[in-house]
Amino acid sequence: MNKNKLKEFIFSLCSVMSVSGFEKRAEKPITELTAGMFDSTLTDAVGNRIFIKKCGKQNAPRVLIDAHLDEIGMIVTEVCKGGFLRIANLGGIDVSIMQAADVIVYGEKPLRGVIASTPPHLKKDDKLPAFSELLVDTGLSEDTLKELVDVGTPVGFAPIYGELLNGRLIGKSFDDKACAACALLAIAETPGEELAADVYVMLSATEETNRLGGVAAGAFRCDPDYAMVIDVNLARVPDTKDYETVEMDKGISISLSAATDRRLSMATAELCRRKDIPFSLIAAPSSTGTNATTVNLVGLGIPTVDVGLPLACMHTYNEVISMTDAMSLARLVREFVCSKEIAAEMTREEVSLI
Amino acid sequence: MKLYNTIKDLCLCPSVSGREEKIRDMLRELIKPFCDECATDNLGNLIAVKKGRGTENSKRIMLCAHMDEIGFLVNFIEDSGMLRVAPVGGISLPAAAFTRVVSEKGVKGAIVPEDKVKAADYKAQAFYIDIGAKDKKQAETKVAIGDFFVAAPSLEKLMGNRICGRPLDDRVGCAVVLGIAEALADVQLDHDIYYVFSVQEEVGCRGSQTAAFRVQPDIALCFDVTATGDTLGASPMACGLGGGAAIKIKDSSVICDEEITKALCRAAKENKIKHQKEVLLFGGTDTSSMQLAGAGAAAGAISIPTRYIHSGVEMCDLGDVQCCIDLGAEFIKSI
Repeated sequence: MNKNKLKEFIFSLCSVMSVSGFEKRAEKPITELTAGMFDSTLTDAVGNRIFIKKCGKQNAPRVLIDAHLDEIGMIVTEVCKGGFLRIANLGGIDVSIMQAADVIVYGEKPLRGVIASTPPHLKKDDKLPAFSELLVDTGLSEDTLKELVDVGTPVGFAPIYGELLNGRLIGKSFDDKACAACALLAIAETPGEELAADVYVMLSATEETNRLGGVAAGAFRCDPDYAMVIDVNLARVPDTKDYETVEMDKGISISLSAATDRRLSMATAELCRRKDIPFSLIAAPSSTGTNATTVNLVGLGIPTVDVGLPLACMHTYNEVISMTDAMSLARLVREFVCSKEIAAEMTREEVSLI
Repeated sequence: MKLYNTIKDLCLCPSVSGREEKIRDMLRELIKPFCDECATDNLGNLIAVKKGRGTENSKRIMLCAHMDEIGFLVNFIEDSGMLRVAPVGGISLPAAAFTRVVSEKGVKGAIVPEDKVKAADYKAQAFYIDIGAKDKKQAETKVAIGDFFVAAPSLEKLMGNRICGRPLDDRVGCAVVLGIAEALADVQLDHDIYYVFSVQEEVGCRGSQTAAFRVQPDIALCFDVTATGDTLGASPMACGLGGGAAIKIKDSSVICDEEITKALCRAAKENKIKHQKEVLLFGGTDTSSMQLAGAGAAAGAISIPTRYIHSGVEMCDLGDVQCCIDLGAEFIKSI
């Protein structure tokens, strides 16, 4: 895979507004970005986007590759006097990153805005405001604002992207659309005849906000024999604990957890070893903290492996990932869906209980 | 007055989560005239269906209100005859302290915190029910481990259109679904309408999950109470009593389908039905479980603005309740 092509695809996909709960607004731009890449695609009732690529064999097993489509963001809770917008967070956002952040208000038309902040000169103490005390300033008057924005309007961080040294990318919502971009491009570039299973790539809805995640409904519909859930993982930075984080540029992580399938996880690790894809194993005792925990229990149960892409500054507008790791992820996705060994081992047997 | 009486009848029928037989029997009789078929599923949900014309465009639309309520479960009887209880659902202990309670068998009592426990230190283990028994032996003639109690039901009219009592959460939602069923009774629709009265919402939206799995709706609408921002000291919230039907954008369990919320707003505007939008920053509803059951549904909710939820003095505006009925009926006609 071409590194620059993947980088540009990551930037394009992550630029699309998909604030949690508003994934259907991303339908059209994503259709444009993925034109011609898959055999078929659909958006389900919940807002999950499913892409299908068939391997062309009769009675082929089905494999699901899931990365969530939604991103953290905000929602307007009140159009206030004086032309300001009160907001609430959708997904986990630390209030300490909010003041003076660039945002876009996705009303009748997109409006640029900034979170109002109190200058240090006027502050009496170091206390942070509560999220409900934050206000978006769009520069518009109260009357104009009321015509363009209503309670319930989504607000997203501004899509501003760049590169650091050593192939690091910086910008918003790499969590989790950078992973989705790796999966989509990897599958699209794999010739159908090399696939070991019919592939369902799902960009799932409401991972950041729903207790189960929209993924439950989407996985039920796809009804795969086995699944890989890809989400970002906490990258190691000074002051983090080694056992809670993964190192950047050292490849992807594979979780070993009570919530996922051990056999599939070990088979995926073995695949990495065989194909020389850098990876690390991490322990995620009772839950992976990702969609994997949900997918594993959908329908009659779906053997699931949880894969992580290291990411620093998680849940901010300046998330950081490594292109080296992104390339490793794309390679793993391709090898995973082409692995005849894994397909043979995971194809379910029909068991009758009666 | 008819609407008020229906709500009152429903409120005065105690049915804690997991013990919904009585309210289900009442609702079955009330919904029967407005539907073609009516059944109870494995969990105890009441599912009534009004069949549509069965055309190519026919959709399956599920309207759901939960019929259970929060309460207490007896888990130990002290030698003194006092009953130790575990909460069922999101009990507010400050609201529950020093109130009258009644068991599923009709035993009356009072729930109180242990002496000298300060309000700030309230926890469920420090609460007990006093039924007036002189000792354990006498208590056991009326009560057994596993019996359910609820805070005493009541409903009264206040000034204007306001009503006050419990459990408006969610008997008022049940009344709205009944009202919609009545409004649509003689309307010939393309779509199959499923009126569902769900069980065990207060303990984690359980009933609606299996009901929606069975119904597999294309569109799912929830009817439940929502908090308001119009009480003293309330968190900012652009939703209040008298503001009309509340069209849910989100609560902490769900973000509603944008097409549904837009269609609800459109139906409200076109039919001049008073409405407001609801962004609830806490609490969960059956909306989320219906959205994700099976292969999922486009889900939304019409909420009844309610003050002091999960207390004995829940308060609604009858005008808002009527708006919810009108909006639900017009929305379905517009699909």
